[in-house]
Amino acid sequence: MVMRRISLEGSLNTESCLAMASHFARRLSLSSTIANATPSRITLTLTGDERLIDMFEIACWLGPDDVNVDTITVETI
Amino acid sequence: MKTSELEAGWFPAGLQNYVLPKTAGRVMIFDNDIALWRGEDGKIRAWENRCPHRGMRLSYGIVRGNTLTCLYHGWTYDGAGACAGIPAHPELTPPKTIRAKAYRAADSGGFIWVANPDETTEAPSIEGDWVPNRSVHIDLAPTSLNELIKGMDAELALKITDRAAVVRVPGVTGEILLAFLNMKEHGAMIHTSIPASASVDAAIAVSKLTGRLRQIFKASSAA
Repeated sequence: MVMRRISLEGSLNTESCLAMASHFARRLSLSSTIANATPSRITLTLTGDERLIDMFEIACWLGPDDVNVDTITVETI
Repeated sequence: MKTSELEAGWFPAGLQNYVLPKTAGRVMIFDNDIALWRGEDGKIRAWENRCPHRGMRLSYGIVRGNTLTCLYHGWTYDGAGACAGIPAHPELTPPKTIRAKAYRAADSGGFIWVANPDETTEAPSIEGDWVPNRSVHIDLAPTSLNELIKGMDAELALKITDRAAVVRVPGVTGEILLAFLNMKEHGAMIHTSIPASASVDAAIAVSKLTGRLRQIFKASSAA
C-alpha cells in the first residue's frame, strides 16, 4: 500500500472529471480523497497498490469528452 | 458513466448455436451492446460488451477454458466476470472491483435468453425438445408479438413472453417457436426453433417463412 497525491491539470469539466476519478478509484479498489477541485485543476490523494495507482493515472489521460487533461503530476506522500 | 440496463424480463438474444463453446459473439438488445460467450463448460454468459480496462468490445475476446481474454491488452476475466489476470502486471492479484458487468443468461427452447442481473424471474422454461432453426434480420421491429404472428400468417398456440410464442404456421405440421429481438435503430432479429423431431422439409419450410419476414418488415414499406 502506498499513498500518492495526484494533480490533474487542463480544461476540466469539474463534475465529469470528479465522476471519472471516483469511477476509476472505485474500480481499482483505491481509497481516494479530493483535496481540491476547480475547472483547471483537481487534486486527489490516493491510497492503494502502487501498480493500481499507475493504472489510475493512465486511465485519467483518457477521460470523458468534456475533460481535456494536459498534465498529471504524481507526488509521493 | 452510463450503466446499461435492459427493460424487465427475458430477451431472446439469439439462436443457441449462434455462440458455440469456446467462442464469443455480439448482440444488441435495444441499444445495449452485449457480448455473449461460452467457455469449455458450454455455459452461456452475457456481459456488457466493454472491457473495464479500455472499453474494447469483449465480443472480440478470446475464450480460453472458462475465461474470456480481451483482445486489446489481454486482461482476462473468469466466468463470473471478475478480472483474473493482467499481463502487464503478472504478479498482481487484480482487485475484485475490476469486473465486467454480467447479465443473466440461459439457454431454453433453442434460444439464448438474456436478462438484467437483478431479474427476479427465471428464464422461460419451454416444454419440449427444440432445436434452433433460423435467424433473420429485419429493418423494422414488429410493434408487438401479434404483429409478428400476423406477418408470418401464423396462429398462436402458446404465448411464452411478450416477445416469444409457440405458433402454428401454414404448410408445416406441428408447432414452431418464434421470437423477436428489438435492436432499435439496428432493426430487429427474428428467431425460430423447431421440434427436434421435425423433418428436414419442415425445417426448410420454416426457414423460408422466416426469410419472407424481411419483405414484410422492410424499411421502405414502412410509410
